[in-house]
Amino acid sequence: MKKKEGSAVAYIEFENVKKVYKTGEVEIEALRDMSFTVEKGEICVIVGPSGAGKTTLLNILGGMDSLTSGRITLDGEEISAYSPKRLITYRRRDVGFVFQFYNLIENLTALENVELAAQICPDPLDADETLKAVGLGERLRNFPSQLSGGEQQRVAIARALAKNPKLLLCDEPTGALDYNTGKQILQLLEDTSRKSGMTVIIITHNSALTAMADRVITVRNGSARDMKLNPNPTPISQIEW
Amino acid sequence: MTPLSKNTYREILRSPGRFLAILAIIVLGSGFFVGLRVSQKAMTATADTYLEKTRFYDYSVSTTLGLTEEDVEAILADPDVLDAEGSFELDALVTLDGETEIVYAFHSLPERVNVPDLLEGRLPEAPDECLADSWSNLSLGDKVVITEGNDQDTLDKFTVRELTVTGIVTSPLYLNFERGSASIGSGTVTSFCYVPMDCFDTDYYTTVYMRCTDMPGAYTAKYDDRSEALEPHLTDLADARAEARYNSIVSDAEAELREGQEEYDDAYQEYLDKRADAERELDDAWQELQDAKAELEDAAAKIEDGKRELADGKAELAENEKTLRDAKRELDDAKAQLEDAKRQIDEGWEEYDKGVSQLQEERYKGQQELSDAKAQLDEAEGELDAGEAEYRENLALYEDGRDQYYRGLAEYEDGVAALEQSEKEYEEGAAALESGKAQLREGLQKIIDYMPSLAPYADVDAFYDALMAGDAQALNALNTGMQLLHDTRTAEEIVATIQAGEKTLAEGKAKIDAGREELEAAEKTLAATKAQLSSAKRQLDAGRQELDDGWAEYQSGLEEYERGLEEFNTSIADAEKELQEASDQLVEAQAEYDRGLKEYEDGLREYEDGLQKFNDGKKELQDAETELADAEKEYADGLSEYEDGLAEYEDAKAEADREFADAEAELEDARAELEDARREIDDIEYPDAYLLGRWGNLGYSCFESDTSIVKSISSVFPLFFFLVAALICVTTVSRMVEEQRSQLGVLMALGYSPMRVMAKFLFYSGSATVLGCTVGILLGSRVIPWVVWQAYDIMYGFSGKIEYYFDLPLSAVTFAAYLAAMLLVTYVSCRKEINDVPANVIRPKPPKSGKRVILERVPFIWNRLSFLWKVTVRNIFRYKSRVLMMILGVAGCTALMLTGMGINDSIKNVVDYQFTEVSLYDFSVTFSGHLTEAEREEFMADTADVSREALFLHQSTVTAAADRAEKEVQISAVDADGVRRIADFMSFHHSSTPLPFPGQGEALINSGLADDLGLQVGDTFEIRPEEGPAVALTVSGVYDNYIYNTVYVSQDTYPAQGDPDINYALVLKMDGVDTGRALASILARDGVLTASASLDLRERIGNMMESLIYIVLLTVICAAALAFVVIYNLTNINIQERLRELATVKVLGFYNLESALYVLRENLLLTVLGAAAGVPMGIALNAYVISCIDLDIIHFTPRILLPSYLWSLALTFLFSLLVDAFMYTRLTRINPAEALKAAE
Repeated sequence: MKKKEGSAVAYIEFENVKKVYKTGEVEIEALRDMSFTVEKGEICVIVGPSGAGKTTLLNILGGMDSLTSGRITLDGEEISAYSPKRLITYRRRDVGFVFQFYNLIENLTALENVELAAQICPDPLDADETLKAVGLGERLRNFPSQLSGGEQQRVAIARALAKNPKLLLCDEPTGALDYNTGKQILQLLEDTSRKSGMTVIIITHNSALTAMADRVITVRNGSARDMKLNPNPTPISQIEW
Repeated sequence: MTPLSKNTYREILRSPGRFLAILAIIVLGSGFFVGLRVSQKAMTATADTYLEKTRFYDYSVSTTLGLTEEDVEAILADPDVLDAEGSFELDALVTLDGETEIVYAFHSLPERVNVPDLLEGRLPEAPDECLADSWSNLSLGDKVVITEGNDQDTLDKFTVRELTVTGIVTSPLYLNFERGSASIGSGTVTSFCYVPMDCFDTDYYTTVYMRCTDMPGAYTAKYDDRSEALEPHLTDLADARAEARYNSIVSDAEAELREGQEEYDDAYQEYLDKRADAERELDDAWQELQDAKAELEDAAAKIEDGKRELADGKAELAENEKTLRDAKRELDDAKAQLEDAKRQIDEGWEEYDKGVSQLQEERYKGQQELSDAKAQLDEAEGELDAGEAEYRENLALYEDGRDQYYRGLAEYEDGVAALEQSEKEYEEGAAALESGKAQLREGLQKIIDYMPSLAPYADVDAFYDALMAGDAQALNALNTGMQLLHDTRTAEEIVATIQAGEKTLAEGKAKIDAGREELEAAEKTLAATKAQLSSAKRQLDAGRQELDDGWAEYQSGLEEYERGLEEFNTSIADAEKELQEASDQLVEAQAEYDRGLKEYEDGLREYEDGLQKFNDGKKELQDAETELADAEKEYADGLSEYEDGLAEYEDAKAEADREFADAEAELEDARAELEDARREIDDIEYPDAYLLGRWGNLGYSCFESDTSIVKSISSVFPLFFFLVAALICVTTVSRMVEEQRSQLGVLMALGYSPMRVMAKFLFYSGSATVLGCTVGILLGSRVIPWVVWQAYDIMYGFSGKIEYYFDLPLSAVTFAAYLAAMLLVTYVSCRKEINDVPANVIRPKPPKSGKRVILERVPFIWNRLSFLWKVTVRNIFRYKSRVLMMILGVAGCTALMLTGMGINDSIKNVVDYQFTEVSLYDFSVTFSGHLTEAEREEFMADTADVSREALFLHQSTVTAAADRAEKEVQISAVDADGVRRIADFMSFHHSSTPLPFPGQGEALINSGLADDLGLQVGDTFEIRPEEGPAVALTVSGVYDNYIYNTVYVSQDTYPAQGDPDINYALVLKMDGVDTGRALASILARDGVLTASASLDLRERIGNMMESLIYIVLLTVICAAALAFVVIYNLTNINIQERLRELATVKVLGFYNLESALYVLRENLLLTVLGAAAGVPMGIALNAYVISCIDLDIIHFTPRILLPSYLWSLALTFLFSLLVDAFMYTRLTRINPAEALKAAE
């Protein structure tokens, strides 16, 4: 591991990550020489236009895809060297995922959706408590279709949190929500990070959200153009867009 | 092609699996249905073709007197008869290898009816050539030898004894492997054989086979109708032939009788003449004999005297001989004793030698052992000595070390003392310096105090420091001060002195520190050395201990060795002493033996002298005897001459008498024969005529029943496949509609009419149906008959190839039914969307929401389920049609297998049940007519060697009529004695409850008959015999019975009038007698019309059912296909529909197996439910199929045995798991990143 002068290794580290998709004869370079770091407990917002490679980045960091070259480490572990089987275990234990479209299991109640994730983890949080913590204590026994979009996303966040992961990955978490609901969800993510010291990575194309982040990474054309530290993030409640 | 239809084609290509599932189920459903239906027709068509080719008969006529060419001509003349040919058939024992005798059925080679199909070779041209059965092992050129073991009648019927095979044939008379039974040999016919008519020496035919005009194809209802219509007329024809045959035989016989009478009269006259001549000759001879007799009597008296003298001499001699024999016996005894003694001595010596060599061996072995032990001890001693030396060496080393340590310790202590000295000196020096410094300070103070003008510094310390730093001003001040104080020392000197003192002290301090460090190091070294020494000491002590132990062990070993040595020496000495004693005894015995031998030899010499004397006396006597014998011989010669003469005379006389008697007897016989012949002619029984249709042929009727099983199975398949096909279509189309909802909305918004839009789906399912039915029907019509024929060909090898049959109406109906059903369900599935307004359709349908299922209201179960099972249960109940499809499909799979195996169980074992549970007798015997009490006893006596017990009863065919139906049945009337004994022959029971024999006016009927006539216990029905009044009977019980329909009554119930003909017997076989032989011996008895062995029937039907295994296989394959299609379809749809859910679950970190089970668990659960549902369905289906198998004489009861249940369930799960395994790979390929995609 390449040591940096005067500081320990960063919590998340991307080093010259490259990802090439091959479709027949055509090669598409989704990520080219992507390098950045994120520290533990930070809220990191990754912004960039569509097609910049945000989702590919998230896939790779989330253990859902392999990379072509380079290396990624999380908490000192080299994820990029994991076998497919080990990657599943990594997803199972270390990563919480929040999707744009919530992806709740329609046939399970809110509580059961959370428990579904919790029961496969070695050290889960109590599902009931987690749902209460995201403000859904009253709706435990409702099916997803009986919940609003914001509530569904809260269930999704609870499901991610209940696994007690090292990392919360959010892919356009407010993309399918209206302004106010989206704000509430972001507030929830912010609170979670601030209170429990969870590392949260939010992917968005909404650059207004950069104000809430400790660290902003701008992605363009498959590489990290800019990495900015924000010593005084603005609480989400004060951000307008 | 319009864009819309392009869209449809693309849709098919987009998910071929889905389209293929519909296609496959339709192919399977239509194919199996049409194929199985057609199979029966194809089989009967194949059989019909063969029967036509071989010109199989329609009716056969036989009479008990046989038939002649005239009869054939008369039958041919009948307008209903197309063709007729006489046939001579005879069973005979033959041998192929010169040893084993087997029974062959010989047939005269026909030319026009029942023509065998020549497979190989040529037709016979000479009487000693034949055609062999293709099922036999015979090949061209083989010889069939008719053995001498046949009875004379049979042998007389053949003109040759050896036949050469010139051709191999199949015969329509033997469609299946069954060759029938025989009244000779083993009782079973092994093979048939066709020979030219001139191979037989016969003037009649046994059977005339005829073909009738206008006969429809075999195995059709039309054929049955036509033959039924013909039967009365043909029966009359047969009766007329019987009458004609009778008349011709009687008139022939009478002509013969007249000739015989004339011959007899001539012979009687000749006899009387010859008798008178013979009597005269005899009287002359008698006189001559009387003279010779007187001469002989004189000679006899003289011989008598000589004989008496000789007898006296002989008595004396006998006395002497006895004395000699006694002496001889005594000598022999003595000799035997001596030999015994000799042998004992020899044995003694041998044993002694053995003892000596044994001793030597033991001594050697002992010495060896001892020297080994000694060597070991020496070795141990050496080792111990070496140990000692080593120990001593180590001890010396240790002691050296210890000395060194002490030396070091002393040095260290010296060092400590020196260091202390140095420290003391240092402290003294320091004190001196300090006082010097103090003096200086005092001086300085004085300078400050007294000469402030001089002092550049007011403060002593500052002044001192400046001084020490060599400040010039301060030095001057001090010098001045010094001078003032009158001290000669200059300031520079004082400063230098102090500085030198300080330096010296610092150096001393450093030296002391160095010395201390050194000492500390030395101390550590010493401590380490001490530790090493003490550990070395411990080791040494341990070594000493080991050595001491070694010595002790060595000492004890040595003692043991010495003890061993002593023991060894003692035992050797003992043995040597024993041996010496034995040798002394032997020497003594030898001496005694020698003395005995001498005595014996003396006795022997004495005996030999006596013997010589005796022999001399004997010789003398013999001479005298010879003389006497000569005289006697002379007398005897004379006497014998006389006696010869007398005998000759008597012989001649006797012969003459015998000849007269013979002639008389012969004449009497001839007369009696004539008388018999006359009576025989009167006795010639009016012949019975038998008319038999094709049903009388075993192969023909077996074929019918076999094909009916195939037909009955074909009735099961369509139901499942039809329903499942419809359900697969529903689920698939529903899913498609759901997927393409928005597309539909767009099309409708564009202005396409609902019908045009729907046409897409109709075309989708319609094309699958058209394609599926076409492929299925075409394939099924060929493949399934072929497969079925392969199975049946094993039993019926008459045609290797089945004739394919395309049933157009059946195919069309199947096709139409499938198409209609598929289009209908498609319409129903998309009706709702199509009829909605485009605006609604174009909007995505809200996802089907999660719902609680009924099971959740049962917390007892629900709370025990894990989440994954909860998801499974909820998913399952989300789409009712899928659940139904899956359960029905899987249930169908289980049910089909259960049915297939159940058919096997029900049919295959029915014979076993019949003959172990119901019919306990070994043979049933039908007699040609009534048997009187005496005849019955005679039968029992004749067959005593094979039959143990018999029950005689009346049996006849009657019509049983109830309100609903009537049926031809057998009625068995048992007399009072029989009722008491019948339990040994028949077990009447219902389920397992025994039934009593019916009383007067009551009857026991079998379960099959009860079903057919709709009778229950207590109902009344009527028995209508062919002759005589009808009898009304009350059902007293329904007994379990599987083969034949028989009504049992007592004889006071039936017949209503007169005594019954006792014409039937149930027989129990003698234990240990071969069934075939017993049957042959019963059949061979006069008056026995037919006899059948239960065992034969059992084997025959058992063999017939062998091919059922193919039916089972067919259903298993079919069931597997059903399970595959259904489970595949469901899983496929589930995967497509829940791709996002599965991807999400994968993102959550489910391992491959976990995420696969997320979907496959549904399959497992539904498989369990389906299999459970399949069991009752299978039971019902089996019952239905069994009831469809309509065989007149056999009544099958549906039975499914436990292994069949287990197999069906196990295979169902296996099929399900196989699909799951197949789907597993597809599930593992789902990319978790799919979860990130937007909802469709």
